[in-house]
Amino acid sequence: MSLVEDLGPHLPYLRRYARALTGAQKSGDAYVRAALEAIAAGSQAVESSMGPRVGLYRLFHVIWSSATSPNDRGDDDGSQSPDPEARIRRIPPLSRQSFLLTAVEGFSNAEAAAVMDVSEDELAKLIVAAQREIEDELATEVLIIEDEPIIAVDIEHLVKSMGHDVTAIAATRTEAVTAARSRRPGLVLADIQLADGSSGIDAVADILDEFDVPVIFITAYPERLLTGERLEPAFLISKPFLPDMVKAAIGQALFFHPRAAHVA
Amino acid sequence: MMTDRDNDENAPNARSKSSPNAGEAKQRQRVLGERLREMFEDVVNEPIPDDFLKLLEQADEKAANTDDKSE
Repeated sequence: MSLVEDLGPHLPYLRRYARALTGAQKSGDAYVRAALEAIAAGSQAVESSMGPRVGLYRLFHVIWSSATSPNDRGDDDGSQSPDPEARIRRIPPLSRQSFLLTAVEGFSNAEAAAVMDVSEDELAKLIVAAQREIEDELATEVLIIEDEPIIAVDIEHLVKSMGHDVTAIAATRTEAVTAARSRRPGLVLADIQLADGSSGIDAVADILDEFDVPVIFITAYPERLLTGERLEPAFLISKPFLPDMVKAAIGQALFFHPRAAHVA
Repeated sequence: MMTDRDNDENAPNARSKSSPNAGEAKQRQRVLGERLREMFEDVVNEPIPDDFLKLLEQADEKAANTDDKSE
């Protein structure tokens, strides 16, 4: 087998990794090129005991980490830009790598640890640290539209456990709109069927008429959203819900929403 | 399942916040990873720069020459 055959098929993925890591295709490619030049010059060899892909990323890691300081935050200019690529770059380098290698590149913890030349324990800690960074960065104020008090308290607890504040719990469409006007939330969690027979869908539509905000519907009646309402929400969670699913959806909604408010 | 253990006092917003454990962190990151893969789909599908494969070819030729000499 030649290096072209062994490593060539992995280069598109290494380019993706380098792009996500550095924040720009050009600088990502520059690091990939430097790694390949090191192979061509014979100054670095691909160690492929865990397969060529791990070996290739490992070599890239050596090149990249020798060129960046441990505190480097990529190409981030220090602004709080809310686009997902900028969010990635605000994660410190080692945690950023652990996150990208496992969640995006699909490496197992053992493989990612080999790429980064750390123990699996250390890798697990880096992944947790990355999550803490991501959630601190996304911390915002949440409006809960929910008419069942017990469920509302459940959701409130869940939201606070992720580091968010709750601006209000609204039980009707009118309450929701009033609450959103008096304190603009960075995220809305909405039930659909509300206490006075009003609709969470209408409440959300009213709010979205006034400003842009990510919305997650949590409902026992998911079909009401699926059958031809004017809203087409990306996030729909059925009751009874699993807390982990709601947390994952919140993280996703905030991470990818262009104008998620950041509470400083 | 909520846990209140290991509150990080150094966190910028240490309300009633609990740190995720390794399993929770991975699970939440997997969801983000799926979306990021969609976002970077074009990068994976576009042709790689010409010189990338040439560099690997050079390395292959070099290795082949070395093998010849050692024989």
